[in-house]
Amino acid sequence: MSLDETIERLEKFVAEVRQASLVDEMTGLGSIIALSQEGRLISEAVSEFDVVVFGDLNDFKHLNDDHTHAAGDVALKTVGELMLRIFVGTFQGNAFRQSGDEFVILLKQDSVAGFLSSVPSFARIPFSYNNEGLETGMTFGYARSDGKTGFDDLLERADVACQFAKADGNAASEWTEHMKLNPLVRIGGRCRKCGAKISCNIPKSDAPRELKFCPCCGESL
Amino acid sequence: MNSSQEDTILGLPRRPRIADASASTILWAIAGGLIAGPVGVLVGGAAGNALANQRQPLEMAIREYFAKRGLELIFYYPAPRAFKATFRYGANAYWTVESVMPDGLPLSSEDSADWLYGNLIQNELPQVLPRIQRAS
Repeated sequence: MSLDETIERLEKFVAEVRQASLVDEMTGLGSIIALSQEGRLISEAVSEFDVVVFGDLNDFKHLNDDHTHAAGDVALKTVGELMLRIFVGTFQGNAFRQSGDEFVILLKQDSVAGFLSSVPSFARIPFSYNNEGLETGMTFGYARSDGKTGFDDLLERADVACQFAKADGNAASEWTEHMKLNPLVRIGGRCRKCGAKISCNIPKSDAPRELKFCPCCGESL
Repeated sequence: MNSSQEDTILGLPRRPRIADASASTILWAIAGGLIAGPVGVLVGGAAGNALANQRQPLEMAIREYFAKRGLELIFYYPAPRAFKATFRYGANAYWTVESVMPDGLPLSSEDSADWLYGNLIQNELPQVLPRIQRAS
């Protein structure tokens, strides 16, 4: 094989590896590498997308613990396919798996209303695993670009908004300045009677210094 | 222990040869780096060369087995003497099957892969497929 042929083969191989690295194998969505590339474009204000959505699965740990990690993988795949169909197919956005059960969707401002109307489809996503009917669900937070905030900060805002949505029992929340002024704080404890480990996220202004009662047995902590 | 030229190992069917795989599975295996070789020769069905005569890598053989039955291999979890495979049998319906070698079965790496494949298709899947057919 000549040197030219060897170089050509290597270039082809590198292109294939690069292409493969942009796709998340588990879900078929964009990978974290692809997200990083698109995020750079948002930070440079040259991306077509200007809304950053963060979503994660509800009680994913319980799904893994109660039904094995293979069932968790199936949940991720099922969610990924739904995201591809709705966010990418219908709303012409882009969707990525960031890590574990955390997903990022990039949209244009004019797709936000459509996104919000599709959120209920993600509240309960049923699937069958080993003949057992299971379901998973997602909660979202999103942040709109103001033209001066970088991608990493927008993603952090969307993540915070997602935590607020979970704390409030909503399917999706938009980031607001109020969330910055009164952030969620995590407090926790362990019940001396039943041993339950308890933690919750509460807006800082409402948070007690410590938990007073165990929600399982009502025992004073 | 057993000649890989025989079609069975300890009474279980061995993995099929690469030449017996469908073109789509061969392309999938090449794209996934499971096999390396001249695509045209393999897909064109020229089974005479050494590569085409080799047994399919375990993951490829399992994928091909499922595909022939209209099932899709979604996840493959290999282990030294076992594997798990999750397959899809409906739009949102999945099942995970497992093939595990018993302790004290002194087989070579190739024979182990054959045994795990044979155990899956002859012992494990026949317990699951009727339940799937009833459910769907």
